[in-house]
Amino acid sequence: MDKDQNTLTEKKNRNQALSRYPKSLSLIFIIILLFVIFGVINNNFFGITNIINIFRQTSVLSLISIGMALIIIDGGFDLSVGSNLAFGGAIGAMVLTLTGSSWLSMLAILLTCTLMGTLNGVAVGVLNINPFMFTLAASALARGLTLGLMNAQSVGVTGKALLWLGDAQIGIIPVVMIFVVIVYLVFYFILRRNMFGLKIYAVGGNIQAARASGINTKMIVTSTYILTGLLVGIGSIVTVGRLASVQPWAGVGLEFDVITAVIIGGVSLRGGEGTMLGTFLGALTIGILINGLSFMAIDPFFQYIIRGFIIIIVVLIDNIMHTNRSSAY
Amino acid sequence: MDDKNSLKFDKLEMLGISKLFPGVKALDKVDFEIKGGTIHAIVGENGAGKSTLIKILAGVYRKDEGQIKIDGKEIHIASTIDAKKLGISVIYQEFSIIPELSISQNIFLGNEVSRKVNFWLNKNEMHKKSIEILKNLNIDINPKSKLGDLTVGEQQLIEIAKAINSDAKLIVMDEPTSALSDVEKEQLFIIIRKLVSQGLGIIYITHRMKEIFEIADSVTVMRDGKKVGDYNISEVNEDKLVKLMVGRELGDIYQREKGSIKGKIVLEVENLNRTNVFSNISFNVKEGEILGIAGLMGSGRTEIARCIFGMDRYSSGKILLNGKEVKFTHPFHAISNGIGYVSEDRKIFGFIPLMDIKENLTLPSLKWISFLGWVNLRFQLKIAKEYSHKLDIKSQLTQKVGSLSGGNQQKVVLGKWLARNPKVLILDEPTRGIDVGAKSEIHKIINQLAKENIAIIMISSELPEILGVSDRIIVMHEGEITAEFDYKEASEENIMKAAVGLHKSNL
Repeated sequence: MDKDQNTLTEKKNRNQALSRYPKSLSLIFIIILLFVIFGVINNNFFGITNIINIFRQTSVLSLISIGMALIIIDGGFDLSVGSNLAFGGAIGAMVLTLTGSSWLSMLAILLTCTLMGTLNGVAVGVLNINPFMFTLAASALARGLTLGLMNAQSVGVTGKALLWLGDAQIGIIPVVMIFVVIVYLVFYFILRRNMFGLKIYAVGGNIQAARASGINTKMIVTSTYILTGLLVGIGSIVTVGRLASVQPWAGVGLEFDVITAVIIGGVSLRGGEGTMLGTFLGALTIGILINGLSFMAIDPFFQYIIRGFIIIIVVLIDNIMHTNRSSAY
Repeated sequence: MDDKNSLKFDKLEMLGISKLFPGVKALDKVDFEIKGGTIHAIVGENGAGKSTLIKILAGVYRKDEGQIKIDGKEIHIASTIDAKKLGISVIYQEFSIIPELSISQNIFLGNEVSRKVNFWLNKNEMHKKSIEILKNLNIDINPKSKLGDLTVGEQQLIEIAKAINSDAKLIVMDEPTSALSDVEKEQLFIIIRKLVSQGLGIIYITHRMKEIFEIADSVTVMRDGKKVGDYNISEVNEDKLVKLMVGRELGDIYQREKGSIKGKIVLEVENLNRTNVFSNISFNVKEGEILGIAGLMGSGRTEIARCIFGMDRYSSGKILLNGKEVKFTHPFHAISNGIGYVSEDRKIFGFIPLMDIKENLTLPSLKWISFLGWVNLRFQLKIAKEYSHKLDIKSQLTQKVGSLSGGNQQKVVLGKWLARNPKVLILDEPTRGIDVGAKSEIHKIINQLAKENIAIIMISSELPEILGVSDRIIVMHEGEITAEFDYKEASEENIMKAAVGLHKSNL
């Protein structure tokens, strides 16, 4: 009798397990829906220029979402991405002023942000400090240093190399758009077929079992933060390219948009779940929302309120969808 | 002595109590009775149903069948609050105290409501009452001190005070002396006797035979979810109790063909110690041999396994693999050296619920099926298919392991270690929580593995399993090895005696 019950439950769960990307499907619907809504409100929304714009505007968000997805899959959190982005820029601006070299500046940005990521990683992954607390503190630190270094003033940038990633185009396609797609593809394959990717899912799914299977869980968790740091560095360069300057207030609130995007995209706050496709769509959704809202000429304050609401709804839905997650036996 | 007026209750009866969990009948029409003003012990192996029975009394579980009556009147316990209102108080092994609060606050935890004076908690009133309770119990503790500053023994006494405060008529104590010194134990006994003279009933659950004869008036023996019998303490002795606890027909249990030629010693443990956990552990396992480690839960068996596997550190001693000393600091090292560990709690340590069967099966093997970090998917599938077939895992490889039945989950856990071709396999409660059919399948698999010359250590609390499968058995009791038997010499009785500390033989 028990055996029948077992197979019955297994059958039921099998149907649930079969659809690998149910969320992504519904996400595509949402995107199309939003598209239509905004398009109806303002015809200009449909223009090719605008669509390309959306991609360009969302590029930084998309890139950093990759790293954040990995972090959240492994049960962590990074509230410092925005401030680190600005801090990288600040160091970059310093190096630029000191040496005049775009390349050195880019290197400095990448190194700085990766270093900050490493700091986070060691604190959370090795020392087991609460990620929320530490990255929040790191965020305050980074922002403070940024404002101090730059005297809260922006620095114009003209070096072609530095501006390239964020600004250049091949025909009408922005270089950064291609770049984002490439990075997503790389991480898609890593998560699917690389040892590292599998270990990330394992650590996120059950860290104790992962350790018992011989996985160096500390290293895996730490590397998610380091990777994110690197991606933030790239994002910082892109930002400089788009604004043709280094802004001391760059990235404010970025972490919230990134986290929202990642969760909309299907990464669960409980860990262990999430896909690159979903994350990409999630970032796109946020991007469309932001772009669309700006078209509606709504008060910026109101935009914040709407975005806040969306985060709450998204987290609620995530909660409901994942309540039945624990294994039956 | 039996002044009926001083009794808090006359009789509590549990009649025909049954409780079913998925795949396991934890209690099968159990009758139980305790009279007010007496101390009644319950004994039985792990899994006999003792804690299920008292959890039903405590309102933690709901009974599926049967009735509970106090003084002839039927009562319904639907929650822990109901139990408390009826005067049933349970003191578990793991206390429910708040270390940072003061003693009187702890005593009144959950009962502050009834002591309130206009909305604000009346601290003085609580404090006065606390002093009274403590004095009544002859407990010499300053009520103002924080609970976290007390010894475990003292904390336990506070637990009792808490029970008294909620007007308990019946106090159930689950392994009350496991963390107490001898002196504290005596103090506890004095208090218990005093409570009983005041008319309370005490249910006392323990594995320590000697204590039962020191303190209890009567004893109930449980086995496999059924009650074996109730006895007056004068009618039985330790030996007889053990016999009653384990006596069962060995009929359905898988019997392995044993006595086949064994190879050389593969794993050897010499004088392994871990302060306060286990001491002086020495044993060895040969190729193709199954060494059973018996003992009660908490006797230190899993802890030893974890140390061998590199999951925990030990204080002193040696572990030798094929004659050479090894020191593993992470499971990865143990795995690379050919050791596999099927852990006790598969839900926590055994598998990744959201990953599918093929991913779980190949998880410890990633390094060996990948090239430059990229997993060879064909390889992965091949290995997954091989072990899924070998273990007869009845499910598609893309099924997420979290949704499988217990038996299939355990097979996945086993399979992932087998895929590593281990020389030593440690199995910790390999068939716990698994239905009978799957159990025997797993036993057959274990047997096959031994035939393939793998050295197997099997930790189990199930005596039939230990007896049916092992070539040799060592028994542990409170961190020490108390006996070693060849399969021919072993019996449920002498294993159980060694497990409860009755029978100490030197190796």
